[in-house]
Amino acid sequence: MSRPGPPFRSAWPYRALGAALLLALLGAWEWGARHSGLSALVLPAPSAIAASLWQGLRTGYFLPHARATLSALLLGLAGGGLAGLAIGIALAESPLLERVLRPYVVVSQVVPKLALAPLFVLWFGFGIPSTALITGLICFFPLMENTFTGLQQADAQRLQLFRMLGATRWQTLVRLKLPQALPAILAGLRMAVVLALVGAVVGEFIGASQGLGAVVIAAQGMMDTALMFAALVLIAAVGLLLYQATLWLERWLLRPYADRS
Amino acid sequence: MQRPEFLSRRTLLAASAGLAVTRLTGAAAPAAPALGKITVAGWSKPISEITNLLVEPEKGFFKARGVELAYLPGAGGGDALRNTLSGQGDVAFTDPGSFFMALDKGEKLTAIYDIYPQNVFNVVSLQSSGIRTPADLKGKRIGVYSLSSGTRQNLLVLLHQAGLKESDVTIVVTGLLNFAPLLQGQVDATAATDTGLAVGRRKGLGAVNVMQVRDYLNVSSDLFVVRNEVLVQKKALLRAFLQGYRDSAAWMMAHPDDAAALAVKVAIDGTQQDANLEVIRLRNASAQPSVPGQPLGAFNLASLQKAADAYRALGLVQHGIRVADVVDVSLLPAA
Amino acid sequence: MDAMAGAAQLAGDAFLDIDQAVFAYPGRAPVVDGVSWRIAAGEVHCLVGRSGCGKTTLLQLAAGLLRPQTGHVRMQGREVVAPGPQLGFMFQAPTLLEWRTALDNVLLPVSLQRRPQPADVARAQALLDQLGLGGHAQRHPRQLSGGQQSRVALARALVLEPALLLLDEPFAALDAITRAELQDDLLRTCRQRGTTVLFVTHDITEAVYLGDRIAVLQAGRVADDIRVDLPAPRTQAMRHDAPFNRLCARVRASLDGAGA
Repeated sequence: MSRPGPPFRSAWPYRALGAALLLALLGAWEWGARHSGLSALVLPAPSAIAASLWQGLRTGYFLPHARATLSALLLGLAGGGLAGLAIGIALAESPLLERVLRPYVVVSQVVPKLALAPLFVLWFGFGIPSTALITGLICFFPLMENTFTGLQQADAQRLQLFRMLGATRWQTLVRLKLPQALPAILAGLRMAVVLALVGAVVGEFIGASQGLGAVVIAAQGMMDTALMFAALVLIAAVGLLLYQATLWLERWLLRPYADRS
Repeated sequence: MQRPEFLSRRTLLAASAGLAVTRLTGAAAPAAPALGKITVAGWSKPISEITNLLVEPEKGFFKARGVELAYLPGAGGGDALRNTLSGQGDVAFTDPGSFFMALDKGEKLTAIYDIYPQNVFNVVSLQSSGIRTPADLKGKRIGVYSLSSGTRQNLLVLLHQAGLKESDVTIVVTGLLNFAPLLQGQVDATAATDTGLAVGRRKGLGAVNVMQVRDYLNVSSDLFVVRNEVLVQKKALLRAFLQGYRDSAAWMMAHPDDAAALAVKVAIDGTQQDANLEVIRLRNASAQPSVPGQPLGAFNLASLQKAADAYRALGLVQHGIRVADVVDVSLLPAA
Repeated sequence: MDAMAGAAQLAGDAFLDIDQAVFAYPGRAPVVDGVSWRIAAGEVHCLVGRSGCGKTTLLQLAAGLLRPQTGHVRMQGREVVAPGPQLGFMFQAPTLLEWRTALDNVLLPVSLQRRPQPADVARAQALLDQLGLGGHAQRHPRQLSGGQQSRVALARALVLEPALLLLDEPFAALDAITRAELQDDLLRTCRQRGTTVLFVTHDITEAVYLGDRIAVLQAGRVADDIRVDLPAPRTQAMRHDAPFNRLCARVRASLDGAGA
């Protein structure tokens, strides 16, 4: 017996509700900031943040910083993601490797990468290289784990089909196991994208001169809390865009896997 | 702004800050009748530089004046000021740059004590680079601790004295790497502090050129800053607090070895006693008044005004600041 | 044809020759316990039996997925050691790859061996046309009904033009009407190519409709060997006639008698 579905059929009533909620929250914040007597440097009003955001966008101030953060993010995502994919495949195909490497993988995950960030800056230079490296390390685990799990899910009947057709091990991996694991891998990618943004921004806190994370730190030093919030709004916007892009990619790639349309 | 609203907000914020604040009450010295509690919002974690604040449980300088002292750690002078603005701290231990920029944003603040009248910032370069004066920095890559740190702001002031703008150099955030990028040639010069340079020397920095910012514009390194309402409400308590602070600073100057030994216990970075001693000696030197003969804590309004003007010229503040209007010397303890 | 098939068998040049095959999983009693069976080229033989009688295992022995502990399995005189392209098969489930089109699924046996040539693609398309799926070649399996997926699986089994087709209850999950249509499709395409077929089923009417001979299996042995002498090509109307039902009754009796 399935649960009763949502009350509206199209998406617009939900979007309207969401927008109304957002406006209500912003209104309460604006009222609170103006009447509570709290300093604008501690909690700026949404109107001040919007002004700072507009100013930064209009003068193009944010552009090089956004570009730096996105570069580090995409580099790290690509590198860490591919490494995660490769190691996931290796561990799934070789039980020996899995037994031997598994503890090291877990340890690498448990140690907080951001605590190692100053060391990375020391070893690999400051700016985009070390930020991308931190981001890559953060993206590695979700993709590795999801690839591994996805590959284990290959069902016995299809495996037998391939065996009977005389497929080599490589063919079975590339033409059966990986496509079958694609939904799991894409779920891992979705997770990694969000983590990558956090990793890139916080990595920039520590050792970067350019980037949205660097803007946050600089704004704190300039006592410009409105600018700091504006940078955070931009970071959130970037995160939403990336997540949505990943969803679209997933939907497009997984169209054949979906149920009868 | 109504009074009752203000008080209830303060209580709420103070209660939530209770977890972060270090109680520094002690049972050592005989106490004067209790006047109240002062929370100092600092710019750092409890480090050996501020040993005189951290030894309160053992020494009781503030208790002797009737003040219960608490310390709220922070990450930079801006943080210290923000904590004070939100009411979690009563007095900010902050730098003039953050002070000016907060004033520029319309905050009602007053400086009541000059903690380190001597400037402690410098710019270090390898002897082979040939950088001897600020003008030589034009077109060079200069490392700073972070974009929000005093090293960057004081570097800008130094450049301004030589007629240079921020766009004439390339500023690179190197973090607290203790001169490694300088030694590896990734930057041409590094903006640092006296304590940072001391640590670097101990770790084998070698022969370097050092330009002291104080040789060009000797702007104070740190001040005690309060909100105007607090100044009005708690004059007597603040006066007692400043007396206690002066006593503690005087003690650290007279007994640096004792202070270094105690720092091993109370400071988070105090593991090596000889390193502590070096840091404490440097801080004692920077606490000396810039005009000889003046008592501890006295302001040099002329150099502070010059610094404010430099900030205005650098574009770090939008409006001019009259330093005399935002400094109150009436709470300073008599000599 | 009856006499000729019988003569070919006697002459010993059977297409598929299972000779006293015995197979047991380690530590268990034999699942196939001394089965001898011969299929002549072009014939359709059906295996019926209750669940657990060893028919799927026997099929796997014929395919070369398993090797008998004693006895031999020979195809065209040569020992069967591994599955190969001379073999086509269908499982109980269509087992299609959802992320490829129907045409790609049909071409799977080809594409695993080599790059599909235009001739292969044409052959695959022709198979789909023959099975009534010509317009669905670019659809994905999830967009097809159960019956359509089974047809694609059948086309896949036939794309390499195998000499021997092994089927393990391939139509069991379909409704009666679709099942009947697919039975006709199977017979038509196999007769046309002269494919030899070994068909495992638990459905007696299906066995009688499809088969030239029926082997009743019980506890790993052939309990009965029934010749089906209905005329070819079969039509659905035959299901209502007396000869058909007599044969069904005979198989039924054999099963009941075989069952303990």
